[in-house]
Amino acid sequence: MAAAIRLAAATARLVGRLAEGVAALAFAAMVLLFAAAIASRHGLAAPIRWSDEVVTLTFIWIVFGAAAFAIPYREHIAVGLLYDRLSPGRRRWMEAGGTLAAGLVLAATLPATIDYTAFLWRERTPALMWPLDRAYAVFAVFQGMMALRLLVRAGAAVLGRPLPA
Amino acid sequence: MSLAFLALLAVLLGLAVARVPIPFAMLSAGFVYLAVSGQDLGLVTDQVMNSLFNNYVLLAIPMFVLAANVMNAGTISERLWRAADTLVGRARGGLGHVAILVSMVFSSMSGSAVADAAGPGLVSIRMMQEVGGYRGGLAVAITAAAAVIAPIIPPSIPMVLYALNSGASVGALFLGGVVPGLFIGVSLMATLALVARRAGLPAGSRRSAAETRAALGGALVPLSLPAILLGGIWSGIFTPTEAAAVAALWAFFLAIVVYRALTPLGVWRVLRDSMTSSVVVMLLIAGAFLINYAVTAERLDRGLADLVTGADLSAWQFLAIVNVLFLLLGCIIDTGTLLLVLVPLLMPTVHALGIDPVHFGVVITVNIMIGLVTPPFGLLLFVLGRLTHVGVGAVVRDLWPFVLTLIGCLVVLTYVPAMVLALPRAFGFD
Amino acid sequence: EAETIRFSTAGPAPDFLAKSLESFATKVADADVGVEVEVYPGSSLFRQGTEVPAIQRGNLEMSTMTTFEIAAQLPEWGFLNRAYLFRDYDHMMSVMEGPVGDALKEAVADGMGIEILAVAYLGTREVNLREARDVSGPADLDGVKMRMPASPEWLLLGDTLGVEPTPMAMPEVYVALQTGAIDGQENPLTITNAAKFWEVTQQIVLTDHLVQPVFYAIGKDFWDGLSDEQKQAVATAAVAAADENNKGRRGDEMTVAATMKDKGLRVDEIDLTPFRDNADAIYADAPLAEPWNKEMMAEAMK
Ligand code: NA
Ligand code: NA
Repeated sequence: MAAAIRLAAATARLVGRLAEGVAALAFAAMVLLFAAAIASRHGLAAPIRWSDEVVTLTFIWIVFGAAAFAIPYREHIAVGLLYDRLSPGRRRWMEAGGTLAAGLVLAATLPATIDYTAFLWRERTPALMWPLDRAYAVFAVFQGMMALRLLVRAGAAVLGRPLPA
Repeated sequence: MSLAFLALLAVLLGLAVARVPIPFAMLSAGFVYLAVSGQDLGLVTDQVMNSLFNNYVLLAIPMFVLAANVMNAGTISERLWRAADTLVGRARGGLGHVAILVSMVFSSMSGSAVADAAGPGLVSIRMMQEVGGYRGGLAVAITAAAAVIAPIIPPSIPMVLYALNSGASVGALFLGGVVPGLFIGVSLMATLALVARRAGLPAGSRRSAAETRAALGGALVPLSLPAILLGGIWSGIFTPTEAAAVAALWAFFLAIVVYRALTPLGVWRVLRDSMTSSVVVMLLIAGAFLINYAVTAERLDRGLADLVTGADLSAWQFLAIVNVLFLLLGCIIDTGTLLLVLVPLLMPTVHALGIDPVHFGVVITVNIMIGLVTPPFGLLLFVLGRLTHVGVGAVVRDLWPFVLTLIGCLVVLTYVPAMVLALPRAFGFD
Repeated sequence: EAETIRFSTAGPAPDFLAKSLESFATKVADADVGVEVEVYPGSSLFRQGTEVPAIQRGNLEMSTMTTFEIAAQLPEWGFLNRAYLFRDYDHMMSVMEGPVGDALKEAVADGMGIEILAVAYLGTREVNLREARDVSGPADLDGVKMRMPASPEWLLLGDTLGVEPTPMAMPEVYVALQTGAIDGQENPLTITNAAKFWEVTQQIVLTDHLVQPVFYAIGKDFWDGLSDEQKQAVATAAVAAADENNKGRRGDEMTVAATMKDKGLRVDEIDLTPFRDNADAIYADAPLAEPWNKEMMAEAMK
C-alpha cells in the first residue's frame, strides 16, 4: 500500500515536470507566433490570417493543460482569511470538506462535460476549420484531472497524510 | 432571486471559505446552479471555452506578465527604478509616487486595467519592495489603485464598448477620460503623501552627484521600452494587445543581448513562472464567466435597471443610485456585460434627465474600474495578490485610504461634469 | 405554465435588430397565448457565433441566425456568403420570399433542426477607408489592410474586393483606424455609424459587396412543442417585428450616407461592374465554392 502510494506520487511528480516543460515551451511558441504575425503584417504587408486563432487556442490549451497536470494546487488563487486563523486540526477538516465537495461536483458532472464536448463535432473554428469538439477537449481533461486531484487531496486530509502538491 | 442562484452563492462562499481555490469554487458553483435550475450541465463548457476563445484582447495579460517577469529578471526594472529613486527617493513614499506615474504612462498604451496591473504594475510592486523596502501589502495596494486609471486615459476597451451601446462618440469619450485619469492619478499621489508617515514608508538618503548621474545614465536604454510601445501603438505599427508581445520580446532582447543578465536557465525560469502566473489568472477569469452567465440568465441586471429607470428620480439622485448599483454589480458581473446590457437599458433615462452621455460614460467606466479593487471580490486584488504572493488580507489593510480616494474622485467626477466635458468640448465635440 | 423563449442576438441593444426583438417580445406578450420572450442583446448570454449549437442543444430557443452560421453546417448553401449575390434589399427579399427562400427554410429545418420564422435585413456592407483614395475597381484597393473576420469565406470576400484582409477583434478596430494599424473596415453603414468609425476615417466607398439577410430562427423541437395558437401568434409577431427592423434600417441607410457627407466624409458611389466581374472570376475558381449548389445560386442571382 505505502509502496503503491509512493509510486503514484513519483509518477505524478514526473508527469508534472514534463507537463510544465511542454507548457512553458508552448508559451514561448505562442509569444513568437504573436510577434511573427505583427512582423508579417508590416514587413511583408501580408497578415498571417490564422495566427490569432492559433495563438488563442494554444493559450487555452496551455491554461487547462497546465492547470490539470503541472500547476501545484497551492499556486491557485484562494482566500485564506478565515482558514489561516484556524488550528492545524480544524484546517485539515476544512480542507477535507472543501476539496471533497468540489471534487465530487467536478467528478459527477464530468460525463455532462464530455457529452457536451462531443456534441460540438458539428462546429468548427472560423479560420482553420478545426472541429470544435477536439479544440475544446482539453476542458474535459482538465475537469477530470482536477476532480481526481481534489479527491486525492480530500483523502489525504481525512487520513492525516501529507497533502499532495 | 431563484433557489438555483442562492445555491450558487452558497456553494461559492462555502468553498471559498474552506480555502478551495476560487476558480474551482466558481466551477462547482456554476455546475450546482445549472443542476438546481434544471439547465444543461454542458453550459459550463460552453460559457468557459467560448468566452475564452472569443476574447482575443485577453491575450494581453500573458504577454504583459511575461514582459514584467523578463524586466525583473533581466535587471531592466532595477535600472529604471534606481534612476527614479535617485530623483524622488529622498521624499517619504517617493517610489510609490513613481509607481502611480508609471501606471499613468502605461495607461496611454493599454486599454485594460488587468493588463496594466499584470505588466508595469508587477514591475512597480517588485521594485517598491526591493528598492524601496515597502511592505508587500502596501506596494500592491498602491499599484492596484493606480491600475484603475488604465482604461480611463485612452485607449480604452470599456469606452469603445460603451460608445457602441450608448450612441456617444468614442473620440469624445477618449478625450473625456484624460482629465479624470490625471485627476485620479494626482489624487492617489496626494493620498499617498498623506498616509506616507502613518504607513511607515521609508525615506531615502541623499545621493552624490556621481551616483545620480550613473543611475540616470543606466536608465537611458531601458527607457527605450516605453518609447517603443508608445510610438508603436500611436503610429499604427501594432495594436495595444500586440504591444504587450512586443514589450516582452524587446525586454528579452535587452536582458539577453544588451545586459547579458539572463542565462538560458534564467530564460527558462522566466518562461515557466510567466506560464504559471498566466494560467492561474486566466482560470480565475474563466470561472468569472460562469457567474456572469448565471447573473445574466437570472436577469438580475434587468431587474435592477427596471427599478432605477422606473423610479421618478432627479438627475443627481439617478447618478447617485446608478453609481452605488454599478459599484455593487461590478463585484460579480463582468465589465462587458455591464456595458452591453445595463447601459442600453439606462440610456433612455440618461437622455431624459439631460445627462450628457459622454459624462455618463466616463463616470460609469471609472465606477466599474473601482469595482475591480474593492473587497470582497476584486479581480485586480486577486490577480496582483497572486502574482506577488502577497495575501489579499494584507493588501486590504493598506488599501482602504486609496479606495476611499477613488470613490471620492468618482463623486467629484459625477457632480462636476465639466471635469469630463471641458476637453472634448474644446476639441469641438458638442 | 407559460413557455419562455430566450432570444439571443449579437446586435447591440440600440441597433434596429435588437429593438425589433424587443418589439417581438411585446407583440408576443400582447397576443396572450402563454408565451413569454426574454431578449438578450449584444451576445450577453451566448457569445456571437455560438447561438446555433446552443439552440440545437436546447439551451436557447431563438437567435438571429446569419447565412454564415447556416453555411457552416450546410456547405451547399455557402453561396449565400459570396460577394455580389444580391443586388440590393428588394432583390434579397424577393429571393428570400421565393422558391430559393422556401428551399432554404426546408433545408435548415431538416438539416439543422431550426425553423426560420422571418427574414430580417442586416444591411448592405460598404467599404470605409481611413485615407481617401480614388476607387473604381479592385485594383485600386490593392494592399489596403481591411479588417475582416479570419474565416475562409471572409478571406475570399476580401480577395474579390482586392484588399488585404486583416483579422482584428472588434473592440480594437476604432483605435486601429485612428492609428493606422489598419487602413479600413467594411460594415453596413448603420454599424459604421453606430461604432463611430466615421470619426477616424475619411471615405465611404459604396461597394454594396454583401447584402445580408439575417433570420429569426427558432429551435424545431421547441417549435413543435407549441400549440397551433401559440405558433400562429409567434410567427405573426416575428414577421411584423422583422418588418419593423427592415423599414428602420432601410430608412437609416437612405439617410446615413448624407449624414456622413455632412460630417466631412467623402462618399463615392461608383460603377460596380469591375467588382462584380472580379467576384465572378474568383468564385469560379475557388475550392471553397465547390460544394455550393450552383443551380440555386444562379436562380438567386437572376
Ligand atoms: Na488606456
Ligand atoms: Na469589487
